[in-house]
Amino acid sequence: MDIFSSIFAGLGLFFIGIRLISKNLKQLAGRRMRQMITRAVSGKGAAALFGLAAGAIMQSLNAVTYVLVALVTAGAIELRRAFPVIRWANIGTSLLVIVAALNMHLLVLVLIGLTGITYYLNLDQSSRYRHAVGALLGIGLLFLGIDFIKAGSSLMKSAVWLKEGMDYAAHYPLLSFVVGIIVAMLAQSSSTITVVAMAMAASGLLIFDSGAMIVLGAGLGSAISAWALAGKLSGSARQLILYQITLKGLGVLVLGLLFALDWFGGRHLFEQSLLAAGLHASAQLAAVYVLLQVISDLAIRVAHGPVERWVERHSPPSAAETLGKPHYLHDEALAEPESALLLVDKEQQQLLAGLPSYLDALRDDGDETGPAADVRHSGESNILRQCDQFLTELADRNHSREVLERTIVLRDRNDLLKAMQESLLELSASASGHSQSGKVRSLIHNLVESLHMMLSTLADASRSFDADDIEMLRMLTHDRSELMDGIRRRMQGSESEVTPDIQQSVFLATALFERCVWLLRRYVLVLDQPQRA
Amino acid sequence: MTFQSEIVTTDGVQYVTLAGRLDSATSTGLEKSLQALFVAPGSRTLMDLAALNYVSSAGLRVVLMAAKRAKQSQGRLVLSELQPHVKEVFEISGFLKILDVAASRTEAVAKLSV
Repeated sequence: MDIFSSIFAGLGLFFIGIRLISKNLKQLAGRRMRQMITRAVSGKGAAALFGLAAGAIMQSLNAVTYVLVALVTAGAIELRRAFPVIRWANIGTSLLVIVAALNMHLLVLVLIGLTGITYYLNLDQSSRYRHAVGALLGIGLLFLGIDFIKAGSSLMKSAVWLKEGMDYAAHYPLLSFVVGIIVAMLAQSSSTITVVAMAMAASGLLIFDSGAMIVLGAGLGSAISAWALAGKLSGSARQLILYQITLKGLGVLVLGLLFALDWFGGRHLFEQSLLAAGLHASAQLAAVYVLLQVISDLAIRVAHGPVERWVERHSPPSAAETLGKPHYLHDEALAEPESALLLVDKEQQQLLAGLPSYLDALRDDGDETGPAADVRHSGESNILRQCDQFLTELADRNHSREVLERTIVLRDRNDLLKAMQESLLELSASASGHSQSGKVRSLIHNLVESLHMMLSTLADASRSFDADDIEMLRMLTHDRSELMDGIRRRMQGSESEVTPDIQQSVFLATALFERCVWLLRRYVLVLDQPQRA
Repeated sequence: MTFQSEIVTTDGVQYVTLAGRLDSATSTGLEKSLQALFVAPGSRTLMDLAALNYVSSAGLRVVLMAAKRAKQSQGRLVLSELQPHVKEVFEISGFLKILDVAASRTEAVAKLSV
């Protein structure tokens, strides 16, 4: 019982340690993480370093890929820059495995002691040091857990039934392979499973063949667990997951074939080479893990072109993703304020031109093949976010009065565009959701066509900057509250069959129309300001 | 119902009669034919909408464009005899506040003569 308790407690400490390290290190980098990552992946060398560090810190390629998925989806980094990061992060996960192969017993005890002292000094309460202390505690617990597993496993090696069981498993490498797949799918990390296997190998509980098969199986298991996420994603995000799965899969396939040739040839060259290199049982499995990552990397480098084309074909960018890519903004323009302001203006014009399309589903004339309003909103709200960040950065870099004033105008327009997108999305969702009676249908049609006309005219005016158009828009966008009130009263009084549902629908549609006209007027006034950006 | 338009000039007034459905498919043609009406300065135009039974955003924009051209050429444009549902879309669009609208053709001619 003591044996299993020791291994069980060791596993518990190990998992807590992994979680503590990952959580606290992410918090340490949290505030400026996005900026840091965007800069880090912009160069080849930096991408390699960043990938290695991310893999080493997070100890899960899946976790690194999730972060990249979030960044690519948000438009913070380009897809093609994310692929090398995945490759390097895969190798980065080897760090824990390598460190675990060393005898860390004394170091672990010192580390735990030091962490205790930081708690005694209340550093865990300090906003500055608490995440560093948390990460330190995580590292201590992780290695203490490994020590527990090693201790428990070494007690187990005297058990005859286990020895027989392990000998049996050694004859069936496929069994170990399947065990590796299953446990890695549960743990979402192949390096974690490898370290546990190493601890068992160190105490003589696991022979090399079984251990190597567990490591290989864990590699495949971690790829399969990523597949579950791929099903929920689309576009570039899905491409990243498919790339990661291919990376892991190729490595397992190539190394698996090499092992098979070695075993069936009866030469056991791998094991003999590792023994000749003076590696003990635990370090041998660490070497297999590292070899697997290196082979994965080499294999995908060789097949990079076809793999990239395959993932692109298999999961083309989604409509929201395509709509969410800025047409004009680029970081280099920040150095030249005049151009930067002009680019934001162009981007806003583009978004303005897209506003009438939010009403397409409600119109007889609407483009049926275009993206739905919610898809459009999901993509275009991303561009607005990027415009906002771009303007913030621009204002930070340039303190001239003229630039700041124009930045304020463009930011106002950004806020108005955001509010208009949201109102139009709401109108589209509410007006298409009910079966309407004749009069209500006619009213919705009139509201939608009027709004569409005003939005299209505004889009044209923002491009041509025609004074007559702007003047006409100022007149057209007068206050509609009285008119809408009248319509609401008329609807309530005239139709006996008007149900509360329809009343609600009329109220919402007229209120949203009123709001949109008000926003349009605000936009015309901002557009009309002399400092055209 | 298909869209039809007719332009006739009588006693210095250009009568534009529209009938049917004015939408994105039919508005482009109308826009082209209206362009010539406002070339000469001070032109007077009556747009008879008695038989117009549907107008979409594109149609509204053509009317707005005509109003803008009339203003630029110091001319006049009066709309007449709007059907109730067409009048409602014009009202919601804000056109009734910025365009001259008459209940009948006679009233429209009278407005143009002022």
